[in-house]
Amino acid sequence: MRNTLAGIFLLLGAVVILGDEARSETEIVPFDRKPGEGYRIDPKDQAANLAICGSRCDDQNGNRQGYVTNGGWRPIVERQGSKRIFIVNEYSYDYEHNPGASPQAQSICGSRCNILSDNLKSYLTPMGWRLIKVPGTQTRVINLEGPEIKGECLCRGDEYLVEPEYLKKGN
Amino acid sequence: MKFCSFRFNGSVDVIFILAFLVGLFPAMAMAHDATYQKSIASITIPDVVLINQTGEKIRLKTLLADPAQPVIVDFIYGTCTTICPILSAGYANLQRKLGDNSKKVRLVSITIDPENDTPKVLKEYLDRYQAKPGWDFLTGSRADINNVMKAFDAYFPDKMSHLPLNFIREPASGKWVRLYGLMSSGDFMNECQKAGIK
Amino acid sequence: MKNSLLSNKKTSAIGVVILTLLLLSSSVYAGEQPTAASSANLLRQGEKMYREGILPSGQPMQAMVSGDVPVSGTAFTCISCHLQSGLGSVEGTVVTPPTTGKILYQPKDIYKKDFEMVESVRRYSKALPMRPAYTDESLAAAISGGVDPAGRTMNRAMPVYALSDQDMAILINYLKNLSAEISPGVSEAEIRFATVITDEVSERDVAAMLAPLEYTISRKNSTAGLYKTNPRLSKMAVRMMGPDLVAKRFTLAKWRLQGPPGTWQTQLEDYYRREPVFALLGGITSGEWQPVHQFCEENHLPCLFPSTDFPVRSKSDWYTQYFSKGIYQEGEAAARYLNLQVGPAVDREIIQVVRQSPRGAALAEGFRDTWVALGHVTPVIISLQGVEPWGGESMRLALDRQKPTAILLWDDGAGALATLSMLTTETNRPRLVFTSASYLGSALNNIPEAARDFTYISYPHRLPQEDARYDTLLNPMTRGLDLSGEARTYFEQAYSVGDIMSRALVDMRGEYYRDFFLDNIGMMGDQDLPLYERLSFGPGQRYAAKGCYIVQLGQGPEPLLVKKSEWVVN
Repeated sequence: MRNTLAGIFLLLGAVVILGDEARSETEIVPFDRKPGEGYRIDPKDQAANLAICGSRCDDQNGNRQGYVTNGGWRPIVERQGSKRIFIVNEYSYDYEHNPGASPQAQSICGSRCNILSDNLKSYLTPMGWRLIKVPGTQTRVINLEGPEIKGECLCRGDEYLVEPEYLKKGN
Repeated sequence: MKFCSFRFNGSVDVIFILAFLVGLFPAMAMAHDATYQKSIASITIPDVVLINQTGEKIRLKTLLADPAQPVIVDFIYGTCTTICPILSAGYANLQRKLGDNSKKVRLVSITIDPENDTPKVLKEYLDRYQAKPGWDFLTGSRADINNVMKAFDAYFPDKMSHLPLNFIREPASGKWVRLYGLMSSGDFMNECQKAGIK
Repeated sequence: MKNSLLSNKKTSAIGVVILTLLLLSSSVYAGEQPTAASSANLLRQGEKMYREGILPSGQPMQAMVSGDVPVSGTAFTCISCHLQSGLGSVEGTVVTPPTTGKILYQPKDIYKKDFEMVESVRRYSKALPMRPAYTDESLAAAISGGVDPAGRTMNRAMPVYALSDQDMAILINYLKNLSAEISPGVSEAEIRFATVITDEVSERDVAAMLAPLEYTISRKNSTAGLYKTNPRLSKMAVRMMGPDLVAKRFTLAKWRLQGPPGTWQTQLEDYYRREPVFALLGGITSGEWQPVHQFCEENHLPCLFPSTDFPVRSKSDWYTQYFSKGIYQEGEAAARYLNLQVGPAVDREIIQVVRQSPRGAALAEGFRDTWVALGHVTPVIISLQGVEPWGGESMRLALDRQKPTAILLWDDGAGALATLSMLTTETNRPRLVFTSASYLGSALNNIPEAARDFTYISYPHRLPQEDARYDTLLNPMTRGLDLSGEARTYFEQAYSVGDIMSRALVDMRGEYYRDFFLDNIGMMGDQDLPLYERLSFGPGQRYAAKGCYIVQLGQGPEPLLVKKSEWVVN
């Protein structure tokens, strides 16, 4: 009996670990559902892929439907009033497709990406917010269309879901 | 009215207290000679564009591109009072020893207070230490500076709690020697020589 | 390198003799009795050594650092680590102990009586080793040889200075007088503060500025009697603040100034004479703060973060801490942003259109100073007198003749909106037209849609949609207040004053010196508080917010602001 239990635990553990890697267990919970309620989708469904869920998770009206969880064991419900923030880790100007561009382009790229980036500290400091990292690295593309410098600018970073802490009074 | 005062219970307490003091604050103003810690790190320089003391835009990767050139990096700021003057005195001393060959070694000081440290502040700081060509002081946007700090594993969210750190890139291997602690100039010179800086 | 004279046990006696001789000699030359003036002169010389590293002879002090690196004492001044109050500092892992005579000449034990359980004091005093009291002779040995009175070598961070006996005596005399008395405004029972209010400010704005200050102070005062009603909470308060600060009451006097700024000096002196205060908190005026600033400098009175568009911009004044350089900083931000867009080396036509008013003048000055410092030519100025907005024929002529790359439109809401409307139909209009959010006021949201893509606004605060996150912190204090228009800004500023003031007082560990108050603020890390994106401090830094956004207006009737620059543009 004990061996069976141990075996089951080991198996579950393996599934947790592997599940995280292979993302075989994924669950999207639309934001108007109550916590705990949800539905499973086919793991082969592209929409469940973490890296691109950003746009695919919206319904035809552009309302955010939800996003993929981490390992599938705890659904993350996107509630009303929550928002996504993007913190840039690195930026790069596309010198490959614009070989003649000046070093100034990298600087402008930096400026634009940093403007796009939110300030993480200003979400951590005033309390009453919960931060959940969306797994994976997100990339945003900015098209530079200045009079002298054109081309694409890639901003790579992390996305977080910011939720009001409903347990806190006054919210 | 006394609030929560400790009462000395004789020698046992003294032992505890001394152990606590010695264990918890090793780097404080104690009587012994503080040693420094040395380790080897592999660092990927982020591709950011910073600004030097003359207002010129500097792409950090390009600045440090030549693998044969020895590089020393530290993190300071213009209004720093305690740790930075010692680090910078070390740099000034090294430049003095190099004499006319000061440009051989690339000394890079990066500010951790980019809000206050405009190029003008950087220039004033370098002038105070009579910096020669080869020593650049860089500032930039807060996000970029944070990224550089993180790349060196020297991230201080609060500049007031920054630590004395020097990073020497060995020309031979391209690896970075990380020196943590306030070193005597003799020790600093030793480490430079060991890293291949003559 | 040790000074061989120091092994001489008669050094302290020699020191006293030298000082006396100096006092007598200076007065003999002047032909008068040895007076306070001569000892004041000696203190001044000592202060110059301590703060600037310059000897009475005018030469820099010679110092040795890290054991063997000779440096000029001007790069390693005493003030840089021991700070202006002499009470020491904490930076990273280096704790600099106090160097005031009062503390040096007492032995240092592990425990400071009655302060054992207070975090800040415990952290600080326990870090320092026990030592017997200094004497004149052992202090001289410490300064020139790096040895403490117990015979141990001091931390490498402390340089050693080569000083003659005479100079050493002057320095030691200065240290004995440094922070020797607790500052005025502090008594056994209370700490007195005041806030300055000038009479042209509306009651709405005054109420908005006072509310957070009074809230903070009344909350603090409620801890004083806690030990009677709630011993457990009282213990927590003691742990946080120390038994001394917990027991003290704070008071906030309102110093209302009437009439023109020329009369303020006497009014301030009156108030101060009747009730000397420890520091000024906040304060509000719609014009120049300069007379109050000067009063504070002369009386060594700290003034924390007054609400004013026109702070005094000084590199060396010490006693007033400002949020920013005021509306001048918005002009500065426009210059830095424009420099980024057009590049440093290229000369472009720039026109500044300036309304004749204090705000217009400050904005124009801010822009011009920075633009020229970045290596450009002084921009052309068009001055607007009267009430007419810039437009019509004169505008068309200027645009046709100069074809400017950018226009700085430093005008109030009504005038700027009119001009921007007119510009939407001009063919020669520039790519960038800058305005100031502070000067526009509520007109900001009414910028015509057609003008929004070429209008850039300097916005000196965090964006409103992001600042909303701080509402939970501010809501308890907003009851009954009218926070329309600029009142909201004054309210959020005063909140920050209360927050920073409390932190600094807690860190002071019961040592109530005005200089130490400002030193502690200088040691604070970057703060995330309402209103300003980032407030940062540092020794000698007196303008906490260094940045200002350049934004544009989004589309629609209730537009959001869109960032076009980072908070600080370098």
